[in-house]
Order: sequence, then C-alpha cells, then structure tokens
Amino acid sequence: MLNSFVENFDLYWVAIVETWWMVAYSLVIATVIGLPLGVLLVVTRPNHIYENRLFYTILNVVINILRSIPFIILMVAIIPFTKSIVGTAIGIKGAIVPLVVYTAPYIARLMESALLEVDAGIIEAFQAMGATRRQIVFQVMLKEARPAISLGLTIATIGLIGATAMAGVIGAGGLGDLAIRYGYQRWQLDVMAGTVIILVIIVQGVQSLGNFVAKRLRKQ
Amino acid sequence: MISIKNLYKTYDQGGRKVEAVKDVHIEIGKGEIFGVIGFSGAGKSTLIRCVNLLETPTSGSVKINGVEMTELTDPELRQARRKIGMIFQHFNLLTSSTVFDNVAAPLRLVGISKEQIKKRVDELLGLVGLADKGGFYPSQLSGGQKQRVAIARALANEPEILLCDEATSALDPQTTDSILELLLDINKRFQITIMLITHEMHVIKKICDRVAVMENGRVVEQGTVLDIFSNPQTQTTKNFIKNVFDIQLPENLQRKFRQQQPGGEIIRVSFVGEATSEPIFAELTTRFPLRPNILFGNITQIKETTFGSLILQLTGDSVTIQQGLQYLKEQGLRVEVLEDVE
Ligand SMILES: Nc1ncnc2c1ncn2[C@@H]1O[C@H](COP(=O)(O)OP(=O)(O)OP(=O)(O)O)[C@@H](O)[C@H]1O
Ligand SMILES: [Mg+2]
Repeated sequence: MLNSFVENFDLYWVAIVETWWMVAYSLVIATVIGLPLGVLLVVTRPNHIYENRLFYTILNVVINILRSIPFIILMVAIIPFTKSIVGTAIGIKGAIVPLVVYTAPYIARLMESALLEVDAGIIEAFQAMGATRRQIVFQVMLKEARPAISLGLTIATIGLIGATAMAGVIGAGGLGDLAIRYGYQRWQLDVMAGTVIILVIIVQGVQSLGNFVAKRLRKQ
Repeated sequence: MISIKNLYKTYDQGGRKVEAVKDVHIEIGKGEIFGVIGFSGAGKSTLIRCVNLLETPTSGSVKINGVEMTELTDPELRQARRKIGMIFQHFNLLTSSTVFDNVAAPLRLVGISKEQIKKRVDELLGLVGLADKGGFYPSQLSGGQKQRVAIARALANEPEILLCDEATSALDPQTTDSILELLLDINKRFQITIMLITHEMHVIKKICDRVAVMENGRVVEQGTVLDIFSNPQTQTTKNFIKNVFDIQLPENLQRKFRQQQPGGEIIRVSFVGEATSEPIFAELTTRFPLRPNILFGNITQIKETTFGSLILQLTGDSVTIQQGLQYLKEQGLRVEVLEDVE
C-alpha cells in the first residue's frame, strides 16, 4: 500500500492540486454569492429589518428548488449554461460552474441558520441605540454569527469536496477523477484506496480547522 | 419630559386581535423615576417599547420633550433614540465583543474619534464599577456585572432618558439591590429620567417616585409611591403591596375579633416621614379619654422616606372616638376605619 502510494505519488499530487483549485475557486465564488443570499433570507423575512414578503418567498422557493437537485443531475442539466459562461463543460473550469450553482444555495441556507442564531434581543438593543439597518447587518449580525458562519463554511467545504469527486465523472480532474480512471476503469484497487484515504484525511483536516477557528472566535 | 396620551397598541395574533396597551396616559417629569408594575402579559413591555418606537403604537401620542415620536422620519427617530438609553432583562450584550467594545458600540455608531471613545468608555466603566473589566468578555461576567456593562452602554451617548425593561428580573435579590442603587445614583448625578418596568413591588418601593399599575393593557392606578402604598385602590395593587409590606392582622387576631365583638373601632393609621406616631398617640390619650391598643404594625422605607402603618383598637365612647380620629387626621396621618378585620 505504502509502496503503491510512493510509486503513484505524482499522480496523487496532481489530483490533490486539481481538487484544491476546484474547491478553492468554487468555495470563494459560492461564498461571495451564498453569504449575501443567506443575509437576505434572514433580513427580508417577516418582522425583520428589511421585511419584504414577496422577495423572501421567491428567494426561499428558488433556493429550495436548487437545493433539491442532486449534484450529478445538476451538473449535466446545466451544461449549456456552463458552456455559455466559461466556454467549456469539462475540466476544472467546466466543473466550477456547476459546483458554484450547487454550493451557493447550500451556503445561503447554512448562513441563514447561522444568522438566525443571533439573539433578537441584541439586534433590538442596537435598534434602540439608533443603529442603522446596515450597521445592524454588519456590526451586529455578521459579527455575532462569526463562529456559526465558520462552522457553516466548514460543512460547505466538505460537501464541496464530495461534489468535486463526483465532478470527476465529467472529466473534471482531481481525486474523484483519479479514483474513477485508475480505481474503477483500470481496477487498480490500491489507487482507489489511496484516494479514499487522502479524502478522509483532507475532510478530517478541514473539519478540525473549522472547529479550531470557530472555537477561537467563540472565545474572543 | 415623556408624555404618553391615549396610547393603544393592538397586535394581530393570527386573526385574533390582542389589545396589549389600552388608553394609557402617563406623564413623566424630568429627573423622575417612574415605575410601571403589572403581572406577566399586562402590557408593560409593549408600553415601554412604544416610548422609543421599538413598537409602533396603533394610535395615540408619545411625546418626548414636546416632540411627537410617532411622526418622526427614520433618520430623525435614530437621532432621537441616541438620547434614550435602554436596558433589558437579558442584558443583550454582544457576546463576541469585549466589555470595552460593548460600551464603545453606541459611540462607534455615531463615529467619534478613537481617543474620545477610549476616554468616554473608561469613564463609563469607572462609573459602573467595572474599570478593571474592559478586556473581559460578557461570558466571563456575573449577571449583575453584565447589567452594569449594559447600563454603561446605555449611558454612552449621555441620554436624557433611560428605559429599563425588567432590568433586575434575572438577578438575585442582593444583585438587584446593587443595580437599583446604581440606577438611583445615575438618576441623581445626571438628572436622567428613568422609566422602569417590573413585576416586583420591591423595585418600585426602593427607587421609584411614582408608579403606574397595569392590568390587561390598562393603567388601573397611578400616583406617587407613597400614595399608592398608603391608599391602594385596586385589588391588584393591594396584592403587589402585600408582597413587600404586610399590614394584615395576623390570623389568630382576626379570628379572635371575629368571634368576640371588639369594643370601639379598629382603625388603620398610616404615617409618612420621620414624624413617628408615638408622640401623637401619647398626645391623643392626654387630650381625649381614649385607649389606643396597638394590634399590629409595620414600617418600611419607600425610596428615602419612612412609611409605616399601624392597626389599633380605639376604645371609648363613640363621640370621643370621632374627635380622636379627627385629631389624628389633623396631625397629618391617614386614618381608615376598618369595617372588617381581614
Ligand atoms: N409581537 C407581538 N405579537 C403579538 N402579540 C404580542 C406581541 N408582543 C406582545 N404581545 C401580546 O401582548 C400582551 C402584552 O405583552 P407584554 O410583553 O407587553 O406583557 P408584559 O407585561 O411585558 O409581560 P411580561 O411580564 O411577561 O414581560 C400579551 O398578551 C402578549 O401575548
Ligand atoms: Mg415584558
């Protein structure tokens, strides 16, 4: 096992780097989209600071629809959309679009639940001291929710790593691709096992890092 | 200072109308400590939240320094709120910020310089007795200390009014007293008008000048705390007072008097201030052929004034008794003839 790992090190390394880039790009873009959507899901709900029933209902439904499509189907279904945006539906570039479409609504939900944890009494105290709604979003809600936000992003990252492995099916590269091409198509079980072990280690690492950050933020 | 007129607040609870506040009139003067007491669900929180428009009144008027709050635009309202501090039962501090940053928060909202913020926060932390706790997080503080932080935060922009919604209800009796003393101190030092809400008569008795009793959304009784204590009108008020100042005849005496008709009259005498009743009763017996027999008494402190109540039996002929009662009234005592000894 160890031998096979050393022999195939370059193979693994390339796959790890590809996975890293897919996750990194998708995570950043999905967070940039998902976090504001999460904020909107909270502040536009009834009795909140930017209450807007219509907007809230529509956003809620759209996110539910996107969230209910399995990634493997979503990936295929949006190929034309993917092509129109990045020019291709394969490779890392081709994978990032469906990964973002899949992860952003997920992040929106995770951020929503993180922000809902912020005590309504604190928001009220800031309203009572004359804070603007923007100040409440940025200086109260997002600040208070930081530990929960970091845990939410940890969960999203792990989900994203799983999805990138699936993206391997459309030749996106990365660890999933490696497992399929060598482990499944060529039946090299040692490579398959190696990939799984690496994925387990990465997921463990990400979770520990997320917990650590959340703990630090909570202590503060 | 605060003038509430004709105030109504109706909630719609899934089609069912709930009148949380009904036809409330309250005038609070500058520098006054005004208490609102009532049972849970009486509408106290709704009322106090209408003062800084955290709740929008359904109808009626809330004026602060003559300015109609319900007609302000959003920016005007925010400006007005900066001069109205508020503290809460559950403190509502930022858990992710230090004590220093919590107190600095309202100052940062208005954007003043770092040095000024530092100076003001240090001053405020000194005022509430937490000068050495600036670097702590709220989770490292006791309930009383958290409320002190909240008070410092509420005072940051030098408000003219402090609203307290059950500010001591989550605290033990000793801590409650220390917070009440702090509020009294702040009230005296800065002439801040305080409106506070509570379900404990102890709180009213300790620091309030005037009180309103609320029941089912209405103010059923209001007046100076001394008046309310010496002459409560409603059963609700009597029940609240009973918790902190019992002037009931003990069971065994009640039974005794019910069985054998007592001679003369059973009266309750209330007195306010340092003038203790003793010389008056000594005088009473020398002036009139009456025999006062003290059955029961209680004495307490209402804010800074002594307040006492005595139940006594006056024996003598009925004309003299009437003269005696008249004399007691002329001495400034509140006299009440008890029809029934309960
Ligand atoms: N946001 C709301 N929506 C609907 N009904 C409400 C709302 N807030 C309060 N009420 C109702 O108004 C009434 C008065 O509530 P309020 O909170 O003012 O009472 P309270 O005297 O402060 O009670 P407590 O001592 O329990 O805090 C209650 O019947 C309550 O159910
Ligand atoms: Mg309340």
